[in-house]
Amino acid sequence: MEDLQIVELYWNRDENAIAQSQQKYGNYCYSIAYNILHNSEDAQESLNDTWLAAWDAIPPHRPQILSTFLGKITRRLSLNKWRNLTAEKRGGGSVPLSLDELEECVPDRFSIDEQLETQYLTEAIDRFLSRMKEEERKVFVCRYWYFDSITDIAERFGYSESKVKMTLKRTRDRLKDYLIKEGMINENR
Amino acid sequence: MKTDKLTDAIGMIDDTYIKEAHEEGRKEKRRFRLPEFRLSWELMGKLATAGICLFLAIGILPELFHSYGKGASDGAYNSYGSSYAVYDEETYAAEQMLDEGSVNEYKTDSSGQSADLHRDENKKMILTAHMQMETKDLDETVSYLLEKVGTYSGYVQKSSSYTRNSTTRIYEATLRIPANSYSEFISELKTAGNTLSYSDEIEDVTDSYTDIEARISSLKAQEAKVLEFYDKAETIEDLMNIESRLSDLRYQIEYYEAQIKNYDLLIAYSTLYITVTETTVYTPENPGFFSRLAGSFTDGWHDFMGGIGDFLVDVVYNIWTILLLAGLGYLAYRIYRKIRNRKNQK
Repeated sequence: MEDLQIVELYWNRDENAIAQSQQKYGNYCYSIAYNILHNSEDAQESLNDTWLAAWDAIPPHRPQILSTFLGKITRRLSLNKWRNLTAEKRGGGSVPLSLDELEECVPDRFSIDEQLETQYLTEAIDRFLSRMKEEERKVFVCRYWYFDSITDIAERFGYSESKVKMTLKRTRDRLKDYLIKEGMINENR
Repeated sequence: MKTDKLTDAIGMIDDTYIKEAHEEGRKEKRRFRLPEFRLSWELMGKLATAGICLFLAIGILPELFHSYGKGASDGAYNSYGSSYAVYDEETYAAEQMLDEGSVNEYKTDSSGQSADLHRDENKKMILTAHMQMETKDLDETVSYLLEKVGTYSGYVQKSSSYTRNSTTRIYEATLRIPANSYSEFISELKTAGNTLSYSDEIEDVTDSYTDIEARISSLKAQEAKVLEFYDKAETIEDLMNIESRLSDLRYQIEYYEAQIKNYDLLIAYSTLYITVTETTVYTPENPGFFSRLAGSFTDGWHDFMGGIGDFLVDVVYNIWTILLLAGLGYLAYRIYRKIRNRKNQK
């Protein structure tokens, strides 16, 4: 079934929308959730929450790209779940590593303004991504959006692991400079 | 955590970038993902293990069975003229000599061999011996050995020669020596090189031999009796029955006589399995600990290098098979990847 038809089902409050979403994007969303949570049961739970959240969000929302819309929900829900879980016990997988890496973008003496709207930060990152080379951007998104492991990225792009690490390091450094330049992160006083 | 906001912001980036990265062949169903080919330390370890196993299989195991050098390493194969073909003629000649009584049956000789101490004139005994020796000039020793075999009216039942590890030449043979001159033969042979080991074994077949002789006598007596009936037979039916019985008896007599002949051959000719190895330095009789240690190290090194050489020769020998298998493996991998990618795209 086409994405538009599935969205239409949501709008018509047809429960078949969830079954169709699950059939078409179940594996996609599951892989995102599993990448973050590294546990089948938690990932499955996250997936069920995704369908529920999508059901609540459409309408009024009308997503242009259903896959990424559902993926974003799964990512957000899984990350929240991961944060709750790690408050008790630090989990494994790529997330802690990816987050540790991202910390490099916010140097010790800097912090992100608490008052800053996430949306502004997203827009800045979007601008930054738009200026990047396509391959580097893909690698960045795979690592920090999908939380793919370095090994998986290396294999997928036909790079060596060290090349992936180096590409990511350069991108993080550039992102840090960009965010400082844009005033998104501030020096602690 | 100060990166939470950054992570959340990244989570909301433009759909195009998320989709773009997803289309780069991301795997979706991690639960069912098959193990994939990846050149890692783990894989290299596995390959090394497989290589060692292959090395053992190709290089060392055949050597244990003394069959090395007869297959892939034909290039290193030396021959002193295999005597397989000679076997039948020689055996036949020996049998003739037995029939003509030109070779005496076993006689006691107490001139040195431990086996001789157990010999008895009235006993029927088969002597089998194993000998390993080393020499500095294999060609000369083998010529000497063959000459002595001729001198003592023996014969070479089987022989082969080959090169182990591309460096060590080895001659192996099964010699049949008249039992009455076996001790002299061995004494002379021992002067040809350094004897590493010698063992012999005597099998006492007196009981079996006597038993077979008794059976033959009994059968022959029966044959004589049946022949008497043959002369007295009156009807065709009687004649037929007697003929059948006679044929049966003669078959059994021939069978037992063949066994006796075989025994006679084994008793009259002792069997010596000999291995002669060419070396540059003789193995000392009672080497000290350090000498053995040094010897083991050197031998190990030579064997290792020889093994590697042989392994490479075998790899080159099997190169077409390896290339074919590698090609098929690669093709299967590509097809698997294509099918998987197609599934992912769906």
